[in-house]
Amino acid sequence: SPLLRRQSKASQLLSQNRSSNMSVSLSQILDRKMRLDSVLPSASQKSHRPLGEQPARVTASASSRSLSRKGSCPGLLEMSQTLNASSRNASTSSRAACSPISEAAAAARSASKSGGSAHRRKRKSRSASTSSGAGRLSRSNSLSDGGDRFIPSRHPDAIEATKQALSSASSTPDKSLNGSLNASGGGGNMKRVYTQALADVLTNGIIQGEQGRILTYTSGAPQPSAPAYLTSASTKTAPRPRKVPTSAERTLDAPNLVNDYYLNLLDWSSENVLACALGESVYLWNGGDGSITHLVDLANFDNAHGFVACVKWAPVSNYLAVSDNLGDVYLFDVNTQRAVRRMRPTSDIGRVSALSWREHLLSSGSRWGQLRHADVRQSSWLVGSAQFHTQEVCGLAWSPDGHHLASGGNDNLVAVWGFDVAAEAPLHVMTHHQSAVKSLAWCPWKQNLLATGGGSICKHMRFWNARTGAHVASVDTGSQVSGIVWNEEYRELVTSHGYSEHQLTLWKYPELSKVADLLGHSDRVLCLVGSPDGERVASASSDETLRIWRCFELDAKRAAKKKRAAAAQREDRTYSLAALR
Amino acid sequence: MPVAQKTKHAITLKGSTKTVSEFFYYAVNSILYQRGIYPSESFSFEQKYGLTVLVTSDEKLKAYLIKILEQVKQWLSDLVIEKLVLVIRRVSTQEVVERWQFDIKCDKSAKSDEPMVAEKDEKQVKKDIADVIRQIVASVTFLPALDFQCSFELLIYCDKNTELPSGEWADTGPQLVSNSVEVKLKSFTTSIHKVDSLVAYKLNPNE
Repeated sequence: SPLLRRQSKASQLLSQNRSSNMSVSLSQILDRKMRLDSVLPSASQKSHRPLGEQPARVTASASSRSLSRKGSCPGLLEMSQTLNASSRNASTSSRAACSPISEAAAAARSASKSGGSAHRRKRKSRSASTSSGAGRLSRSNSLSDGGDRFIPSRHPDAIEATKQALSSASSTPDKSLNGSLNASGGGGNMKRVYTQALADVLTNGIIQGEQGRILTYTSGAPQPSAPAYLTSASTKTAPRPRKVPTSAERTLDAPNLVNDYYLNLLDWSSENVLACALGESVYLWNGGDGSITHLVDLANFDNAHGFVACVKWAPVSNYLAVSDNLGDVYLFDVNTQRAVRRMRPTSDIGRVSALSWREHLLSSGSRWGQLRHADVRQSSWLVGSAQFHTQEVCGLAWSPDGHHLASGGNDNLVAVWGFDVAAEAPLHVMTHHQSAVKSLAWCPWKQNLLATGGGSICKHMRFWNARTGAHVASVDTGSQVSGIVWNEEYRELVTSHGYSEHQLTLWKYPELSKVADLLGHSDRVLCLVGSPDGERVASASSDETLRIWRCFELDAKRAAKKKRAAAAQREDRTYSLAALR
Repeated sequence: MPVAQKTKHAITLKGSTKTVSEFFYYAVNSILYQRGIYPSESFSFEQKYGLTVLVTSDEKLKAYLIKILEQVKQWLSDLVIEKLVLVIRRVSTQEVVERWQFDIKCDKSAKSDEPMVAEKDEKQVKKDIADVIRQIVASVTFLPALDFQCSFELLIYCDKNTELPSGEWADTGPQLVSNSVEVKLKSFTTSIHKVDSLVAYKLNPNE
């Protein structure tokens, strides 16, 4: 666009004049703490439009309107970059600032910053045209309301009033707002009036030319009883009667693991086969003999550049449900290694990042918050759908008794649904979490007990009674909770975390005291799943490894007890089968 | 040009005052919780605006906030208040590290007890307020962690000729943040009062 070209020429002008007078006044300008206008950092949007593209408008009078800072940067080039966020960008940025800031916000911001420096380097190599650039500069200034990308949100009155106040106070004419801030001239009285006017401008306290007053309550706020800044992570540790190996039993390589918090890329079947989605493929790792099978390649299904968003073993464990970024859900028979079904959505629902089975019913949650229930035995598979979440559904779990479905979304809500899949609305909605709820797990020994974990802002794991929707307990884990697995044998839970320790934490239930921390991952843990024998958990992390931890190893006594119980169960079954004949 | 029939909603000055001062109470509480000014254990949940908001259970702090907000309410209904600012200061160095500014634009023509025609109904206003509170909560993603003891102060910007009640209020400076980065948050309006929110913070307060 012609506007962009103009602006790029302006930026060249600035880079050339770095050592000239113009740049000196610029640095002066920026040294004055001018916070006239706010800058809108649209984190998620600006990742593809780094600040480097934005030129500086060099003329002093013009910069009074355009001055905005994005932080204290020592280098001149950085200052020039930050001088002008475009108005166009500002209007979109305001929209972006309104949109919920996702987990990726921090990452996107750092990406945009590094992108900015790359752009800086690119700009230097372009040739310059000075005079035409300057001429166009002033024109582009006048178009600042429509043409530029940054709209300072200022009182229109404020500009006039400011100029008035300053011109009346200042004895030196012909200096604009910015130049005159270096107020070395003027006697004491002038200076006082000047600083007063300056203060008014800075605080935007000028409304219709009148000066307001700033009041504060004389007796200060009560001091907090305990130092508030100490992290309130649970430091209660129970006496540890059992030894938990703190390092992984096995580490598997997981290249191309998609580093997206919202996907559920790991599942362990009851036949001890671990399925992991890496990029556009799904690999099976046999826990018994360690063999690896390449099960799926999405390229075979016209989705060569897509990725698998979720994998889930069916209760009948030779079937694996695989969903991809286009919303298709495939059902694979792992014995024959073929897709037996491909369920395509009729409308665009976005990627399906959460799946959960209830016998033959496969429930899926998608990017735009839709929940769909599929009966995989029928050709017209859709038996129910509900739109409740306003953002991506990242966690989905049917209770072991099949009476409740828990869904967690990026909108910070946890919803508990009933048995009837045709229902349009959930039974209970819980709003306590302060960020995306990805991890959901039902307690295997206590009916209706649901554990949910919040994201990086929330850091809390909460427990609910799904029948009543009541909040039972919560614990501050100190980091985002990306997975929860219960262990019935020891009455414990293991949670997987991200920054900064990337650890797995074991908690005793219901005391919620920390039993152990399992360290080993060098980057945030994305998924956690428990083994069918209950002794191990597998965690997938963005450091592209899969680690298997044997944290619930049965000691000899417990192992013997379990064997006896299993034998007794088998006897019962044969007895009842015999009775049927 | 055919104009769609807009349903008219009425709002009184008193109602708008109540809504705005409630918003300030919950916004200030959320900020105090999120920024760790007071220990998080001293906060409890409350359901408001369809969200779970955290409010303090520290009696002294509650009394302090309520006292200030009573006065704010009075000034809101007198339509003389221009800004409410929450200043967060580092105790050891007494420097201002963060500044939450809520600009209030009053519709000066509003008279008490007379219902005015509002553009938005109560539900919409509540929804807008919920969006702002959610934004305050979400702001933790970009605000730097404050790893030191902090204290806060509430500043009110009023009309020049505002009468000072009792003597418990004093004039003070604007208490700005040096080298700040500003982020503008959403605004909401009750048609009598329009509230804009802004947070100014230091990029590296721990240095």
